[in-house]
Amino acid sequence: MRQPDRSAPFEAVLLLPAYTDAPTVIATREEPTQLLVEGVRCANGHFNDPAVPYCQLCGISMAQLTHLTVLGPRPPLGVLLLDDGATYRLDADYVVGREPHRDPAVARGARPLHVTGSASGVSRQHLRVTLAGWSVRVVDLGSANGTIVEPPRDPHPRRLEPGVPAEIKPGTRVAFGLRWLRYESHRNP
Amino acid sequence: MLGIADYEFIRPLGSGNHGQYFLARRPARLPVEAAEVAVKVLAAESTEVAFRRATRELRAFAAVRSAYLVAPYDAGQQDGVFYYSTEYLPGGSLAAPAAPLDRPAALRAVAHAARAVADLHAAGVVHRDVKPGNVLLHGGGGRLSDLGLAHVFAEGVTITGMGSLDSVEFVDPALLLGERPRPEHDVWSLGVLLHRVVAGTGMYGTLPAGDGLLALRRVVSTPPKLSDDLPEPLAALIRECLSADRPTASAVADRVS
Repeated sequence: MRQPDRSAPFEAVLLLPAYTDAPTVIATREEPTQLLVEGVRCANGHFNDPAVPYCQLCGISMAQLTHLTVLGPRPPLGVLLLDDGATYRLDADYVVGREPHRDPAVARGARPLHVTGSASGVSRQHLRVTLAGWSVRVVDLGSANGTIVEPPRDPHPRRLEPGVPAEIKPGTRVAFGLRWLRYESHRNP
Repeated sequence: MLGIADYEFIRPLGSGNHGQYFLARRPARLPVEAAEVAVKVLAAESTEVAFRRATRELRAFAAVRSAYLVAPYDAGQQDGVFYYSTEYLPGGSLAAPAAPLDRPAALRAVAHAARAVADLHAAGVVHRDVKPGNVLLHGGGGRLSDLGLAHVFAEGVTITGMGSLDSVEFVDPALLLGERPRPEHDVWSLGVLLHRVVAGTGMYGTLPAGDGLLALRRVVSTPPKLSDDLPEPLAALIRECLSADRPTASAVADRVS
């Protein structure tokens, strides 16, 4: 843990009852707006990717349903699992790098996913993970060391061409510099 | 670490999910009676945006008047490091009690944690991090501490990598798979907490120590299993906390006590 410079100025906010007004409305979290996507509801009402044969929440077969799609808010598409064990919810785009917040996509609502360490081989803005409909894509942002996609049970990892998005399936490992992340989901099997 | 802002640290109290705790002397500007306070220093780098969001969440937490919540005193940042201070309870936590705890005392602390969760839910706040280490003990029972703030410093994060092994066991797997936090997720955590306190074991067997990734995999892929040693009314309650149709936190409190 870093010892802060004790001579630096500090700011502090009192949290004691007399100093915080009881808010009438609790501040809502800044969640991204949920995009509307086309999907199919299972017999139990769960909203699914029209391409899946079984409901991804309750496992019921979707075969008998007429495949009439409806518009609905897109549920989170799973998580990104970073190699340090942190998981990030996939309900928004992410920019991964040492200085991800400088990517213009962050100003438009993508979340910065900060990876530390200059010896990690990770570029300042290394790659972007984007959600498109029900699928997840990775695009290399012209990084120095490139981005490598390793789909599950596929012995041939693939180096991404900078700027060209590639769709990834659950279980896919994405290596960038010395770091990696994996897309984990019970959706999109 | 020796201190932060105008807090002088006396000794470390331990480390949590995403930071470290210290016992500190109360600075003169803090209008409370206690001579000693607990200070949590977060590992993540603080930015202006994160500082504003963190203090806003802590204010919402502080505005919930409950005898079952640890009282927060003060939040701040110095040189890019974020901290907040709370009352200090010398009894340790359910994860590491300062003195051996018998079952009635442990159950009372769990009931108090459930009351705290109920008070938070009534105010529209989801705790997100109910676990033994966050149930602090005092002579009359327990108080719930440490609102999960990890998501403030790393947007979208559901669990943090650092030392999260102790947390992952208590988190609803639906959250780990990307669902947004809801009150029912806290009730799940209360169920696993109750199991841990009464049976003395977790619900996923022994999780691989020191390997967060494996632990996460285990929790996501294994259905939780109840110990056979549990007395039936408690076993039924835990099953309900983990079911699709969960009791409210206050119902859990009523049935534990």
